[in-house]
Amino acid sequence: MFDNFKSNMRIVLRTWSGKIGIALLLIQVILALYAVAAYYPDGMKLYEQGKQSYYPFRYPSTVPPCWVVSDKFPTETLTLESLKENYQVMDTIPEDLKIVAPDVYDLLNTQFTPILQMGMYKIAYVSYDGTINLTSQALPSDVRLLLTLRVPSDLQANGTVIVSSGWMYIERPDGLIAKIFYAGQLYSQGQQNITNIIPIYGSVTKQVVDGNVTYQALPETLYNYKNSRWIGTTMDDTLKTLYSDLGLPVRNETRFDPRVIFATSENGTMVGLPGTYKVHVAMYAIVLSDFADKLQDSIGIEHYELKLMGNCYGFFGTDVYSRPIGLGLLLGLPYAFLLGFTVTFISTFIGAIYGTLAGYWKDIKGEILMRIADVMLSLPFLPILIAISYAFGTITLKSLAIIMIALSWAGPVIVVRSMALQISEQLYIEAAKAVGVPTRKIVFKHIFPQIYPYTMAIAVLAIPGIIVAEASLALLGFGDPAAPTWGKMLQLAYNVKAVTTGWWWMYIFPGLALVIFSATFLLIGRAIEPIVAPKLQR
Amino acid sequence: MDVRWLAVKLINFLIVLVIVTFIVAAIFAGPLTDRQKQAIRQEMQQLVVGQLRQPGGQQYKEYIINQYVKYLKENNLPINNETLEQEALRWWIDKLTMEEIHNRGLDKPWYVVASRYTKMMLTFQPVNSSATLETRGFFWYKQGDKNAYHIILERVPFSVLLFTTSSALTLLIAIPLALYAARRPGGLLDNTIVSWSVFSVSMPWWWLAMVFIYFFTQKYHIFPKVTENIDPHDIGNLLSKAALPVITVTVLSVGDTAYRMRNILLDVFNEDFVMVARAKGLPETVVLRKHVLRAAAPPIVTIVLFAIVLSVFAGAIITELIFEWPGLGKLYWDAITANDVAVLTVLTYVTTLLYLVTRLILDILYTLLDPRIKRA
Amino acid sequence: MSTVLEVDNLRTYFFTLRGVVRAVDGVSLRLNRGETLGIVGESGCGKSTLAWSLMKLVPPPGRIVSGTIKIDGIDITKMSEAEVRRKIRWRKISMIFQGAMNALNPVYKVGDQIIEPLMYHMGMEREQALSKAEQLVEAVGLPPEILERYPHELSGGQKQRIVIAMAIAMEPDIIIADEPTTALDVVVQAQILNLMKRLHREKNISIILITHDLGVVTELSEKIAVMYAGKIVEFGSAEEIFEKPLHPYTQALIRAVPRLKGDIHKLEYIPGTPPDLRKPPQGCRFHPRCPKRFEPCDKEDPPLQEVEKNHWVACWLHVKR
Repeated sequence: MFDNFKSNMRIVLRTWSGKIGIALLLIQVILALYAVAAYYPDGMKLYEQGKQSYYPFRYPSTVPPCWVVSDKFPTETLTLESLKENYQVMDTIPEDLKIVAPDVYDLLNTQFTPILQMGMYKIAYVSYDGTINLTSQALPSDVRLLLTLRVPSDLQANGTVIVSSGWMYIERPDGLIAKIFYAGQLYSQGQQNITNIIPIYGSVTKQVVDGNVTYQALPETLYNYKNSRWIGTTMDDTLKTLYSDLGLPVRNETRFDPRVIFATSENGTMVGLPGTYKVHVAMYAIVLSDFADKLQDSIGIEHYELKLMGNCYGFFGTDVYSRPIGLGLLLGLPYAFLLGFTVTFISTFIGAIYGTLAGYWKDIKGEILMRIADVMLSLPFLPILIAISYAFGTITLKSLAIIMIALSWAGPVIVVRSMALQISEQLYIEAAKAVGVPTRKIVFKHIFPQIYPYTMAIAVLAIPGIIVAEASLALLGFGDPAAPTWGKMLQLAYNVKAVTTGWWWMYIFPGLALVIFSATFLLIGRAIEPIVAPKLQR
Repeated sequence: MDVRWLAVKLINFLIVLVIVTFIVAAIFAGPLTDRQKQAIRQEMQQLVVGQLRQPGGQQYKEYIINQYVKYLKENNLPINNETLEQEALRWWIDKLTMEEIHNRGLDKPWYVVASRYTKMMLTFQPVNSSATLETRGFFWYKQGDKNAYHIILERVPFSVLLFTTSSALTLLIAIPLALYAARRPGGLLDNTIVSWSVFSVSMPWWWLAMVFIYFFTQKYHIFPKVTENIDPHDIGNLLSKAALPVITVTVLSVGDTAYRMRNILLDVFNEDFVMVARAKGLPETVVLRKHVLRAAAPPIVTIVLFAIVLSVFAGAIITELIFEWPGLGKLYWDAITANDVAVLTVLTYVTTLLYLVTRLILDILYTLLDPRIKRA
Repeated sequence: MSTVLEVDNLRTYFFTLRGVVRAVDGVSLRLNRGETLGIVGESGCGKSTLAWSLMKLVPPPGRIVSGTIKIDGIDITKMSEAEVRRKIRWRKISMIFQGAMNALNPVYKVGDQIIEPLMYHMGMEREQALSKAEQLVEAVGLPPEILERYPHELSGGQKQRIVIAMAIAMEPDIIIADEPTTALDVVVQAQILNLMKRLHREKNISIILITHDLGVVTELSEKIAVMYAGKIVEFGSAEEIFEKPLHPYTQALIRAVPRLKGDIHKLEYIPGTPPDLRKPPQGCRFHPRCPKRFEPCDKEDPPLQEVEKNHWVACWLHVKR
């Protein structure tokens, strides 16, 4: 059998489709093995779960691949390590908040101070003055404040709520001053350190004081996060004014674009304003606990940094959760192999044995088997798959595989049956029957071995259909919540309307990965098919 | 045509239809019954609340409380006077709900319930949408109709327009391509067809739809933006909206269709009778039309047309969603997002029915085309 | 007797990706009106390609490279495709096909296939053509009802008769019969051969019989050409070839046929395999398998020479210097 395999392999490699297919398969197998070795299981879990905290610290969000960006801005970190010891634990609201967001300051003072005085809150506060240098017109895609808090051990068990906020006061080289308010919320879930990205939320107000124009964030962001809703997406007239003041075309985008902090216009397009920016950064964290007053020193800011995120990432870009698309492609590969192979090979194997029996039994038994297979073939695959997924609610990859097998095993039955019919009419089968060889032995020793190479080709050719079906289900929202499949990447792209927002890298690359993966098996299958195809009589 | 042969086919079709419908019913039996139970509970709640508000409501309330107290005593349960009234009401509504569920036979084993749904589907009993879906006022239906069949039927013309147009275009393009490629196997066109078929089979149709939308409506404004505001009475609007979906589906299905046809034609071209036809001095066009295509017609019907039908059922659902094209496929999405079990059930049933009917028609067509198949 | 077919130095090559296959390499033939010629040779020696070349219907990637084919004195290699189609095919030269089973289109009734050339070439109406077809099937010994049948409803012998009826429909000058009796059982074979003999006699049609079966050739042919590796190695009357074969290949071929009469000798076979026509051996193409090879055989190709009256042979043993 192995010699057979070797000679078949040689024939497969002689065709161009076989050559390309085998080459692609080898590359993908190696990548999949690497993905499993390097990322299973923690890396894969992290990919699904770390989208709110792990990836945003490290990668810019929704940036295109670097090869399409001519003016690259590398991700730049201003680690403010020197201030680690500089934080203070306070009982009052920091005064400089008054300058940036007086409304917030008032609100905190009126609503939080009473509770603060009851000792249920502690505020950890840190501030920093420094400069940022922009050397070219490349713009960062985002400006992020990262904050790592040390949580007291006795608080770790009880889901302590930690509210963190920050603000930035930036004097641009052209004299404009931008005041930006950040808001964030953290939940400690038993970890010792929690790191949070503090995103920019809110729109900006414009103030003209003594001829100096300043922009500042609106305090309504705070109201929003109090309702634990992250809003700050209203594009109001002030923001439009900011754009027009900077000479930028006013867009109907609703999201505050942090790039404007460093932007100026050149012929109506947004470009960076090179020069030195003076920054004042402040951050605080409010810890809510019943015994916050007993925790004097143990709350602390471990680390914080100001990060200017790059405007491109790697070869594939990043998604809206800052996850590198390339990583997603890599992690999806083992799942594609797993699902594709399990489903097609098991279902084809079942179908092959079933069809062999249906061909071998020429009496009513065979007829009944064919009727059942006929019913199975009358079920439209995807609609029924959707129906079952809907009835199940969420579905894991394992149960999806089982359902797919249950729906697709009948595929090869008809071809296999006609092959088995022909083989079982051969003299040696008749002879075997005549000398009383048991059915099981005839079927498995004589008939099935002649059929199975062909069914393997059928299985290989069926892999694309399975992978595409998984992606389709994922797009409808029936994907396995724990498995990072390409289908789910496409779903994310669809959900954030990547087509209309122009984030093409979010769906082009996963789709291409899927196409290449599927094409690999189609090419190999088509190269194998003529070798193993039975010479069926007409 | 032989009447008996047709009768056997039809009977077989009906048997398969009943079984397949039962399978669909069994899949949805759970969620459908749950939804109905919820609805019954709401109904009972409204009923009780309504009765309490009417004159004599006070007596009714006392009656309920008395019943509840009796029930508690019988079962030796503690009586909590503070919440007695609320508990009693909830208990009463639960009791009525259970009784109603029993009366409607929803507490029977799943196969009994599924059989009932099967009967309802096979007889096309009107079913109302179980969520917020309703007709949108296309064609002959008024807006706001909640009948699931009407909701589905008003979407059918959209799917038919999209997929029959693109199937017809596909055949129109694929036949000459396949003929040309089969006559020069290994040539440039042939290799292009083979490669394109590999790609079009490997990709989710809706993915290319996304790419095309990006290219043709975002990057280059060749086609109108994809929006759901479609007015079927404005033919110009309808056709301009249909253009990109039709092109996408055609581009996708043409590769594989041409490839499969080419394989069939390649076999037929090697048949002796084609050489005979040439030797007879028939012009090449006559040879192609009368001998090659006609002899290839039966397998083309089974393999190629069936492949197109299959791909429509597989690819259409989500392609329509991406294009916001209000056909049956888009309705799948609408029903799923609205969590509308009733519409989804009927939709699955109708899709399956359409699929079965198409299979039957192709089967009959094949037998008509190939004299070698005995019609018995 | 007038010459009806004259082939001169015909070369038909197949241009495949793996090299040029010289399937017919310098064949010359002459056929008189009403004569039967048998072309014999192993499978793969270029017989069928020769037949296709005579109709100018070589399937791609093959094509006629050089040489002339004159039918009634007109060179068809110079004619345009449309002209060949209208004037030559089926009118002048028709064909009975190898494996008649597949020569009929399964989706058309037998009658439709017979009347096709009649309607196309002679402009007959359908009714007229059908009545002519009735005569034709009667001529091959079949009932006229058969015209309403589909090919799959007929037996092998019936199909072969239909194919013959089709071939004589236009009363051509030449019929090429390419393995007309293979895949038929012996009794039917005999019937078909008798039918062909009768038709030949009655209609005075020239027949070119292509076969690997020497028995069939002796039944029907007056002249025989022996082909080996794309070339004619011996050509002469049937008696000459059988009684006095000159070429070692012909001799071996005849010895390889079992006989009922005469000495019972051990059946012989020809050692080795036919050459790869992409790279035929230098010199005489038979020399690697030839028991009598000597000096010049592997150097130079022997010319086809008339060694006796109407008996031509291409072998260094018989070359007159």
